[in-house]
Amino acid sequence: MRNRRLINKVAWALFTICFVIVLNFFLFRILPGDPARAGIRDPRLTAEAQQAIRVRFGLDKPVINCFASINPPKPADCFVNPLDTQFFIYVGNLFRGEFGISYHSNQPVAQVLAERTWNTLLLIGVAQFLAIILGVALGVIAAWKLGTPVDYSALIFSLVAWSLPTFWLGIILLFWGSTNLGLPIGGMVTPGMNYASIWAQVIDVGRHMFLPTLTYTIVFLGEYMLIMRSSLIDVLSEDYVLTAKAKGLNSYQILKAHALRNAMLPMVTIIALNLGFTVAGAVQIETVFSWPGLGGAIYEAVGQRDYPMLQGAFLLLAVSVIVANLVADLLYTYLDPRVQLE
Amino acid sequence: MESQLFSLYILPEHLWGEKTAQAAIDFTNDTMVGSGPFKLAEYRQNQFVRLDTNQDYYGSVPKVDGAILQTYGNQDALVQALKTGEVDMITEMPNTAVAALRNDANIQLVVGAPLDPGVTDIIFNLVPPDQCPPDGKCTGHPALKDLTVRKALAHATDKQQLIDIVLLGLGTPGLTLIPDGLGVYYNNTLQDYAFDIATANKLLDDAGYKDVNGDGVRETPDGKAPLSFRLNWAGDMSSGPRIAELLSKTWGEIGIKVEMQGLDPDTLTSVCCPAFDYDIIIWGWGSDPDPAFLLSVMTTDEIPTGTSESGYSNPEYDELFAQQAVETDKEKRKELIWEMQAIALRDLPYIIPYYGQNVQAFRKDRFQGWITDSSKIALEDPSSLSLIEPVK
Amino acid sequence: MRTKDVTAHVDEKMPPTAAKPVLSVCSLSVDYVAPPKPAAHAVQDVSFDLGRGEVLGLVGESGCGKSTLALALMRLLPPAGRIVNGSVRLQDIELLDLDEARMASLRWSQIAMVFQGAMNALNPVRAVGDQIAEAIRQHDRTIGKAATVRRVDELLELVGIAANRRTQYPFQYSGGMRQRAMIAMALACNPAVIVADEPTTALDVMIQAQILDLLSRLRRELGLAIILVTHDLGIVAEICDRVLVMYGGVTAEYAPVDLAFNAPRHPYTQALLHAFPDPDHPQAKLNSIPGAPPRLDALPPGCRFAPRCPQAMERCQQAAPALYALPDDQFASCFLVEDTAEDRRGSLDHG
Ligand SMILES: Nc1ncnc2c1ncn2[C@@H]1O[C@H](COP(=O)(O)OP(=O)(O)O)[C@@H](O)[C@H]1O
Ligand SMILES: [Mg+2]
Repeated sequence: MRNRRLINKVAWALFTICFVIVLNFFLFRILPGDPARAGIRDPRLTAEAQQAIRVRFGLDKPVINCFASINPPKPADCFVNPLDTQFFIYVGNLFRGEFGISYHSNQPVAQVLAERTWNTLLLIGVAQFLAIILGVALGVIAAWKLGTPVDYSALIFSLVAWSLPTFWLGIILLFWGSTNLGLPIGGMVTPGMNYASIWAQVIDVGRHMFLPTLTYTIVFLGEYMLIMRSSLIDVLSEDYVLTAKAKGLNSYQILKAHALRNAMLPMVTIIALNLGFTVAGAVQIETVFSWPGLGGAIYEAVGQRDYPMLQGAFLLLAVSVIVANLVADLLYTYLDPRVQLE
Repeated sequence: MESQLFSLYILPEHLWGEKTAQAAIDFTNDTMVGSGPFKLAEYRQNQFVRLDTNQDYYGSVPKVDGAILQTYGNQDALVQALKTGEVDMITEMPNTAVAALRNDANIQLVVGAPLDPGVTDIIFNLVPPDQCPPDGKCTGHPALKDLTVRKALAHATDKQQLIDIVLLGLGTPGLTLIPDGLGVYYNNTLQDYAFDIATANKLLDDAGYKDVNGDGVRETPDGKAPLSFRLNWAGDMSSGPRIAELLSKTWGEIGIKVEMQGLDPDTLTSVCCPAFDYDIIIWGWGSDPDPAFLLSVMTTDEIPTGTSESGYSNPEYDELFAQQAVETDKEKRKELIWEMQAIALRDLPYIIPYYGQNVQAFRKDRFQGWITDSSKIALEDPSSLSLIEPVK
Repeated sequence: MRTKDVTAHVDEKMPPTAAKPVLSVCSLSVDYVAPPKPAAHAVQDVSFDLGRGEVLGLVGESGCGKSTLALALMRLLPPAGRIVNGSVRLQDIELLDLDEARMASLRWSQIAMVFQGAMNALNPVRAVGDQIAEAIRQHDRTIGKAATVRRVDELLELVGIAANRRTQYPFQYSGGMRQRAMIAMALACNPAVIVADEPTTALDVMIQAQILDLLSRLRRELGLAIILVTHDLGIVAEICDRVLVMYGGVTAEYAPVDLAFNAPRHPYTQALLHAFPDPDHPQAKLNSIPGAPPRLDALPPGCRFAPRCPQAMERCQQAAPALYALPDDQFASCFLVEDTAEDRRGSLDHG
């Protein structure tokens, strides 16, 4: 039973990824704009130079049989060798684990993505971890002290944190932290730090991380707190909580044995989805703190019609969302026996 | 091609060696071979470039050991970094930060034309349907082909107000596509159309553009089309909406209506040129040190290529353009170029609201010797970087 | 008035104990306070005694305060519920005076509860056996793991559930099984009293019969005292010794079950019996009681039943009748019994 469910889920995930691979390819080609010109608003780029760029990146080949270009739609020979079209070259390369070369930076997409993803994961991983721990704790305390000043203060704090514009909060924290704590204003490392000891480097990254992590934590903390609070309030009004109380369990025991696990169920889904989506980074936070993350890379790649970067990045995003969902699903199976045995 | 050679650097013989001129232009120098006063020590994309001083430099060796060019994701952070001393110099800032920095005792502001001077332009679609290029749609409003209407619009454009509001004063009134930052090539003798609503109204009245149906918007002399123009701008231009708003106010005073819409740069390119599927566009150019390219934008040859945005075509101008391209006497070439500017201002394919100025700043307590009095401001240029030395 | 022969069941019942009652409730009143709304007097001045092995039926239409009373006994009222008056003595301990920790230790070990709707009363994500074991360990810290498991199996078997279903989850149980599991859980610590709030509502007749059999067996074998909340008079007739009829938060009638069925004195009790299908005359017309119970936050000035009472008099509109003690341990709060009353609140006066 359980295994079949697992296999089903994994099969679906793989199918979705295949779908995304195809979608990714055509999606960006539907956007107007020419990668040989976008990002270089230099009209002096001669037709020959543009053509050279196209040849270099294989953009001179038909997109797929019958289509030289999708937007604007231009017909082409339908009887070319399909393997010599952009689409199948792209698919073939993917199967060989090649994501191609970024049109813009000329670096291998895999390398750029790997570096950016690591930067993003570092920031978001730590921040999400803190946000979850603090948000859940705050939510539990508030639900526990429902209707008391403690609850109201936590609630107001979370509502404010949740509704604060990220960009604004980031700028405020940036001004505050750089002036009062002497923290760095932007970037991830101090240039030249690569000569220092590994410890000095870790501390340096930590100092750079502090403010963006704080901003990110505050932004997500509110959401988690609000969800945890309302979820726990719901659970605490369930009959089985009354049963537990009737059995002589004290408040703390009830929370531990009956309420928390049940209240965490909706949280698991939300956390997993957040984790999946935030691999894209938080473009706003990256912008405020000049953090070299994935979000900024994607943002730039869109503007530059950097197809290989976009394809690679969106595949990465899709995979992370799908994997996060899968993990949420499996975790759910573990947390809720109803799912696992149905 | 000659005008493109300025961007060639001095490189060792084994690199330039037998290359043809075109190959030299196409050469991308991926391995960063150079001959300047600094050497690349470390590069992290979108983060920083760290330079070490080239001790073997053939000129005067910089007094500093190196320089770090750090990238910030937003301009507010940049200003803050200068204030806290995280950086010693910044190359740009939001105009709103200027006042605060000016009052900071440790910081020196430097204002002037940028190294690559920028032009903000208001483009008119001048292409008549019967001269439409092969890929064109040519849907421009017929009234804009009438110089009288363009003159009226120029008289109804309050350039000083645009500079004060949009640039917070950091700009100079524009004349033609050739900005004042180009030094001698900029024709400073030209007389601009004065901001004068009455003159503008009179021009239109005399030419027969009357508001016949009383809706506050003038109609063409044949009474058919109202003077209502599409006004687009590039969505990535933060100044776009404000310029459009101010224009619509003063132009409204002479009975001309605009429908405003920002478009993303790709869409704008596709309606602009060579499609000519617009009425008026607010956009901009960055300039080379040489005016040749910006002058070419108004030539007939560039209409089908998409470089000509207005579709302006004037044999007299084209002839002057050809002459200046081969004129080797600098003074004579300047005369030709000045004349072309006079023609451009007379015929008004563009209204140039302003030329932006660059504001840079450095900390007075860190390094001294920055070049602040040149006609163009570029503290990050090696010329400045190799002169500065720590404050004692 | 129809009569109902309940003597058939009498031999199954224990004689009311002469000894001290296990549970003694006196003048208990509960309000629901949720400002700015006026307080709702959900239970007012209710008194009863419950002896060892005795079953008390608590009947009345929905909204009469039965569940409120049941929860008040265990001090499990929601935050808005306040016990405003009275006493609840469980084996000579005054529950209303205990601090929360002491109360917690008495809950389940002395007085346990079977809740209305066992689907929701069991935690859906924990195994049933686990939830029973939890109750055991809560009150016996010394018991070992293996002993707990043995005890759980024993309890499950007692209520007719195979021990191998211990590790299953509530959703894998049928409705009747869940209710029986709840009963097993209630028995876990050998309590003196079990409060069963509508334990058979929403179950089909077969299962209902099984549960009732189980309850009567338990009280016989274990000497359990049971408070059975129900609005099904058939159940009352079947297993209860005494019955307390509530109307609008007050006691309408409190009597031994045969008197309540054969000689009900309160018009509400009579009306309830009329509205109840008689197994001997299934064709007989049922007379449902017109109207609805009063809103507890806006009670009529006089007798609470007066607006619906077929025999209401002028007097009933002005003043509320006291609970009159009648012969044979019968009590009714109605002016119609005033003449035959031995005493107001007679032997139930605990002071
Ligand atoms: N938490 C509560 N807050 C306010 N009023 C309540 C609450 N619970 C029950 N009541 C009111 O108390 C009265 C008695 O309810 P209840 O004891 O559940 O009746 P029964 O069990 O007889 O159907 C009802 O009128 C109900 O509206
Ligand atoms: Mg009830």
